[in-house]
Amino acid sequence: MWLLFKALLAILILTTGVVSLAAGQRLWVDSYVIDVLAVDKDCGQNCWFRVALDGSMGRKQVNTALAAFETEALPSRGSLMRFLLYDSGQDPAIGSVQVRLQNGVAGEVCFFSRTFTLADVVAAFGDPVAFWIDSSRSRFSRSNLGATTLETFEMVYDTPPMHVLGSFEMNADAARLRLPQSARVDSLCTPYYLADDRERPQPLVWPEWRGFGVPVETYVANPVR
Amino acid sequence: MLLKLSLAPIARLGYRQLPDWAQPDHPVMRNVMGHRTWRWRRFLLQLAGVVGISVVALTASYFANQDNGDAPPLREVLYWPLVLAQIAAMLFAVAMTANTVAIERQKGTWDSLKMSLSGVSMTLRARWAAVFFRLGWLLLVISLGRAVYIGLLLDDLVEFQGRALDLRISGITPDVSLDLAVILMAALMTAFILEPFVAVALAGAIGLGVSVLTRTRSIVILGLLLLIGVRLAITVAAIVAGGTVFEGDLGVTTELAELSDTQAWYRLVFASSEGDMMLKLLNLDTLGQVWADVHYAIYIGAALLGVVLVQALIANVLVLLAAWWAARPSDV
Repeated sequence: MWLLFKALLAILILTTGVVSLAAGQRLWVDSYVIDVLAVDKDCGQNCWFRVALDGSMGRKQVNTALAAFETEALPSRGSLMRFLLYDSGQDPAIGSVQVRLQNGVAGEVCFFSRTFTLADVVAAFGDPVAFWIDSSRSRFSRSNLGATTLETFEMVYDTPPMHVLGSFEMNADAARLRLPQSARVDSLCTPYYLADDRERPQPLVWPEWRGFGVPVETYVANPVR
Repeated sequence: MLLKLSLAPIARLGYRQLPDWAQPDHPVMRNVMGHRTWRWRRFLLQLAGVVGISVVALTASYFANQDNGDAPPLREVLYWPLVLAQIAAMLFAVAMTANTVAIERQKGTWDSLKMSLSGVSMTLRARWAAVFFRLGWLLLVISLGRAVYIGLLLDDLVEFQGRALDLRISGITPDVSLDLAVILMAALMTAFILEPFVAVALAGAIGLGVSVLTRTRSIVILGLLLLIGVRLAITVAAIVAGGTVFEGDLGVTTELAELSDTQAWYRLVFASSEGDMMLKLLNLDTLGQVWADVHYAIYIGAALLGVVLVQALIANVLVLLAAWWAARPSDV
């Protein structure tokens, strides 16, 4: 037992030192901002940020929750919200809203708008790379939608660097061969993973945001190094 | 010869930490271990065996884990080979000690050992210690595999300028400081490193217990088979229990959050200590999710270190009890 205690103590001291060194990197590595996304406040009630972190999801309305973002953790498991800085700019009443993903944080930012349709998405992005439709009862591929009742469908439309979550309601027979261009787009999201830049091959660029009337003021990838 | 010379100082330093009776140059240990000299052929054979088994196991594991043509993560590739190596080490340890008394009886030395003041006790303890020397090569392979896991965990920890741990402890119950989280993480790593050695020690001690309680060779074999069966059953049960909590992209099942804290703790500790599921736990994503899903799970590193210590204590007591039982004058 004495031998075990000696080994345990030695390993415990060694591992504590190593973990402390790993965690203490912040002390000698300069801070950096990976992504800055600035959104005009006029986005208002129809514009939301959604942050999906660690498999959980939180959602905050931009113009009402700014003050809370820095201090209030979303009710999600292991929320990473502390690392998201939300800056309301110089004058919160009339200025723009800026979302900073500081030091690289796994998550996504979505705009939730009721004004876009699938036709808008297709016009801007072209054919999707991947495509799923979910119904409340089961998951279908596009080619084998077989139900006959009127159902609410959800679609996920992947077209890098965006993915689009939308919904539509129609007779499933009619949906079998054709997805309605009028399907409502519920959200436009950045790619899911905005992580530590060591894991990201290249900066993200989303000029297409403007094409949807989303009042993006600026988007800067890796502005600070 | 060069390798032997370069390793000799390290070996000497290690041996100095051992009690007198467990050192390889002690007369009883020399008797138990037999005449062991450095032979290139034996060393190369052992090395080739280890490399061969590792290559076969890693290749099989790589292909078994291959999904959609993507290379599986290193953790997954190493997982099953390490689990199987750990099980093999425990079974070898049981088999090496379960026939201790039977061998001495067969050699005709048992009665003379009993006549001496501490001959029985010394011999049994030496047999137990010899397990570590004989399984040294396997324990080395297991420890190297585990070192890879620790390296991967450290790589996770340096993400976000070292804030990865802060992110994982954010919003969990209870709220703990970063300093405490670092110490608890170190405790988990320590338990992870010590676990294979303590598991072998415990298995060897149990084998020793069986050897002093059984007299005839047939009962020894029966006892050995029973022990191996029980050991395998416990391991399989622990792996199955672990399968109910460890799975999926985040390393845990969604059911984990729905379990009561008692149930979740029981499964985590049982699977980690008996089913080698600490290999799955030593992943920052998995740990973060476990900490978030199960109340007070941040303390799991300390709990597992406690389990390892208790197992070591039990092994020690078992060896002492076996020595006392075997040395009784009535047991002739």
